[in-house]
Amino acid sequence: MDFKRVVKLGIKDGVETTWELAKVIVPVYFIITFLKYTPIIDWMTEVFQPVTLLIGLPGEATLPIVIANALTVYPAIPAITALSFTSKEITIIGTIILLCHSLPVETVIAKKAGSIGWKIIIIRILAAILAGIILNLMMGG
Amino acid sequence: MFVDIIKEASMNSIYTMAQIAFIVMPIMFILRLAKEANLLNKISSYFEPLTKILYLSKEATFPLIVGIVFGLTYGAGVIVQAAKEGRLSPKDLILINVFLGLNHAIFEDTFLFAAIGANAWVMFITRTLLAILITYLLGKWLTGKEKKEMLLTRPLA
Repeated sequence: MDFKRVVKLGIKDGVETTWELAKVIVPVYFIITFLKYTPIIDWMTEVFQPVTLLIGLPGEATLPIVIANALTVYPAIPAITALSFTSKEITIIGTIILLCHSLPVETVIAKKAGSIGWKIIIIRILAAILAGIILNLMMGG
Repeated sequence: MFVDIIKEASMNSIYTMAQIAFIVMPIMFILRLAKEANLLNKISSYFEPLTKILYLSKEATFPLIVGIVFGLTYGAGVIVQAAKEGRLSPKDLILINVFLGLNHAIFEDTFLFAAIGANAWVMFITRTLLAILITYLLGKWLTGKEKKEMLLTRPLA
């Protein structure tokens, strides 16, 4: 193994990934911050709270979760930090998103790897809901 | 108000990006070292007890570990290759896909949320245990019912 080449590649990977993240996170940050000054976030809280309380989350947690599933994990990050969640809430949102995200892209990959995409989606959604319920009960406070 | 939005968004996005860069750069660096050193080839045999519990064949270990560590895209490549070489049964294929759908790229994605204040251990343990439990139950249900495999697999292109 050519150590110098590998170190170079490693640094390149790190910088590239950070850059890819920045390209998504910064613009989404501006959009979400703008939304905070409109009634949209309050409206989301009101509409979704009855459901999200079952998994220990305020209604506006719907926003990062929907973004992560419709798009990818990256833009969900500014949607979490721009709204103020507690550490427990971020942990629950994170676990839910980790189990179930990027559905359009990852379903195509799952199909390529030989599985029936929509059935994998159902398994992932159910697992994410289950994780939310369990963590809400276990983490208390 | 407009100025406030610009100010708040720029300050916070810089802060968030700094937090993330601090964690993501070293992780991507280490993952690259692991990839170039073929580390997973060398350690995948240690994970055979786990694959056995999950009703998977020995040959499924490597694609599974690659997906867990490097992510779905990279894992899918290894799965397709192994399947084309005839080393994976239809049951292997279903169970790997279900497990990796739930649990992939564990370092990169988990630390991304940890960087913004989530508890990495809670996320990691919950996700891994759920993936193991669901794959185990599905594997158990599929054992001895080969016809049911058709419910979840499709022919590889």
